[in-house]
Amino acid sequence: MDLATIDLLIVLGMIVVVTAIGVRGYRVSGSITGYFLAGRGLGPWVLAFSIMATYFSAASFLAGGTTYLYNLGFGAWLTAWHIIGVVLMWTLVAERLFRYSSKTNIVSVPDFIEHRYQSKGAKMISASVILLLFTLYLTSVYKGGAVILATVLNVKFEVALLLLALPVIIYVCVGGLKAAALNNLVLGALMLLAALLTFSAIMFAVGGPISGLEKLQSMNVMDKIPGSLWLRLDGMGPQPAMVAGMVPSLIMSITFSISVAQVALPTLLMQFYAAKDARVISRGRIIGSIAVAAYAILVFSLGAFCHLILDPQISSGEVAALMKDTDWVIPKVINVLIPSGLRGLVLAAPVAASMSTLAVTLLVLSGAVVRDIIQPIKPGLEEKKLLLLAKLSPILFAAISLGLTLYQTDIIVEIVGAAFGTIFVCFLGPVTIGLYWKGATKHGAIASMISGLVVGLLWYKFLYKVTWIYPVIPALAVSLPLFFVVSMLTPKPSNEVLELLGAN
Amino acid sequence: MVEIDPAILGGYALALVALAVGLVYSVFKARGE
Repeated sequence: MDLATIDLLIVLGMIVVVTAIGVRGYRVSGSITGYFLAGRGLGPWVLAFSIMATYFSAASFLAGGTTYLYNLGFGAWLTAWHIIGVVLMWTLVAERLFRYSSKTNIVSVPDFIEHRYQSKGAKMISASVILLLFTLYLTSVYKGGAVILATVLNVKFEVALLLLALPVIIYVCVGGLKAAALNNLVLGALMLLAALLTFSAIMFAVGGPISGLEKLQSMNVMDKIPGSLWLRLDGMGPQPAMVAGMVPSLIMSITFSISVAQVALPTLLMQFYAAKDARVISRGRIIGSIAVAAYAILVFSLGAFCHLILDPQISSGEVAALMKDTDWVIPKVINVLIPSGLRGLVLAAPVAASMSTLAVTLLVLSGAVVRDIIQPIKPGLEEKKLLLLAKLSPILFAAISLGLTLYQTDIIVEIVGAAFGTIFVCFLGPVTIGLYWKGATKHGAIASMISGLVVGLLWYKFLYKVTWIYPVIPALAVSLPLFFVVSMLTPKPSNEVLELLGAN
Repeated sequence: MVEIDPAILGGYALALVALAVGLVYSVFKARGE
């Protein structure tokens, strides 16, 4: 990739700036609540941008290239489900969870599960699900950011991994959620700016969206595939899915699963506990919805238009290779269209997206092991020691996931592929529905988490590429009915909890 | 003339409707506090 010194300096400068900003979180990280919840003092802009930047990893920016292979239905429905997901999260979950957490002493999502279901067992299971799936999910976050960073800086993948991981480890260990959230505000703004620049450059190059669609409709990709296939939901997609006639169901199941996940991801939900007051949630709801919607609209449909820009400049073989690995479509287009100086700023966005996701995920993992597993096992452990463990454990998780990223085995690749959606399945019933439905019980929650985990992972391994239905759908189809049926057959939680839910 | 599948346009339309509904609700809720 052709990058000038100024571009490299911008990317390296961003890494230095976020490390420096992160240290500002140090003064509030002197207690467990201070470290994990920023002293419950986040304002609306920081909270909204932090949640957006946590949710969007490098994959979200690179996902703009997905419609280089898939038809535009992928971009349309990915945008729609993302907006529905963010509106539902802020409308149905944020305020209730904030009020519940402010009346109790909960710090993590497993904490909520323990309090809501009066069950240490349910808490331990939820913490274990978090530890397993988020540690593996981190490997994909690392990979996405490090591949871009290695290319931008022209360094080895291993060096890029360390450059990505070290600043995040430093500011998370020193400043906890306060550091992560302040940085996420900066990184989220950078992601939005990069999205706007990339969208503008592509639309300018193709003469606007309508003109671009007209040209796409009349072109033949690699001299054989009609561009009009990109304008039909049952048109372009992966070859096996096209042959099986499953492109629409594949698109709908993937886009739904990875977008609506927002309503139940512990990395997002935990941050609602950190709001300063209820007004922060009210304002954050507006800011957060607009930020996610803008990003989705600007990024998710770009890939199809890239045929008009890249294909005349590269061979058919290279087009075919890009259609197999669409992650490189957007970086290549940026390299062609965006001038030096701005290019570094735009390519810093996927790196920023990775850093923001890494930071909060490391915090959630730290909370799961220290607050949800060590503290219940050793209740007498003083807070100072717990806090030290909390601050050191991100190093451990960063090291484990770095190792897994470098030495991936087939089974790890399989679990990583299913991890993100499976986390959503495991927490949708126990947390999101459990906030509303007083009839939910600990047995229902446990049955839902375990069945979601098992079905999600097994379906991905054995049936996904046969049925072309993303594993979240069958996992939900099993775990949600189990959640309701088992809850209806087992004893209800205490009146104290039911009153707390009613008061929300 | 671009001929685009209504199922694709429906996705974009739903996105805009969801955003509009979400924002109207959010603004009214924020004003009420």
